Amino acid sequence: MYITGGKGITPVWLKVPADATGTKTIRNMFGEGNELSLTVRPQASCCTSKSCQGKNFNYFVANETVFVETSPMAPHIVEQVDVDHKCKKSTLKQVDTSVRTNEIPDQPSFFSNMERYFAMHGYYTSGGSRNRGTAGFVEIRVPDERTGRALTLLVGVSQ
Amino acid sequence: MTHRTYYFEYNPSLVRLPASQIPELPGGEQAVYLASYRVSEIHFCLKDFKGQMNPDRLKRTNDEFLGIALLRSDLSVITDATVDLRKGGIRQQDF
Repeated sequence: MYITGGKGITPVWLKVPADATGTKTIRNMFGEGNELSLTVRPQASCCTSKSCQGKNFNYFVANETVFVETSPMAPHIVEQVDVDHKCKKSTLKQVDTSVRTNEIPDQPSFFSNMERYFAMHGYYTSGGSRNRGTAGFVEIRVPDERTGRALTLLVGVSQ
Repeated sequence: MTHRTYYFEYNPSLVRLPASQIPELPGGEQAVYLASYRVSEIHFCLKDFKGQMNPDRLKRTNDEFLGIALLRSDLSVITDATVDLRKGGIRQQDF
């Protein structure tokens, strides 16, 4: 698992793998008897392209490789993040490994129910929003109130 | 005069725990999700409370912590913790 912030991405563990090296375990600040703690690797990795400016990026893992989406659409910009190396933005920022397209989704895409509501009522008709900071879609199974059948709910959190 | 620091939680994220990261919990509790959130004294939740705007506090580094919680399949909290990532060498201010 990874924790991300404005300056990069850092691997974290609840259960530290035997082959992990150079990690630090951080205990709970409050309360007693709480055994939940977090182990981190004390260095952050980051994207290094010139386009990688700002924060609230969307990181994701595909084929065991970490990517970061620095712009969600028009242009859509994605680049790989080397999580095995410490962030060295100042020396590597001229290396542009990003992939960009100017395509937008065929179907309207909104990052919140509020935006979708406004669009349905004609107040906001853009094909999608450029909000960033989405945690990513998490698949949750919830029971249908009427039938009791399990439904799939995709949840994301945007800033 | 004394003043208190009020921490608030925001910027929540939720992930399904990978099989390798599901901890053994007392009572056989089964954690399914991990929630993370920012725990910070920088907020306007109490904008009328002057103690939060004490100039002495604004001069120094703000308190920024990370909250984590283990959740059951129905999203109820099993246990939670607040950690200071600076103790792990992480200097990010926001999460």
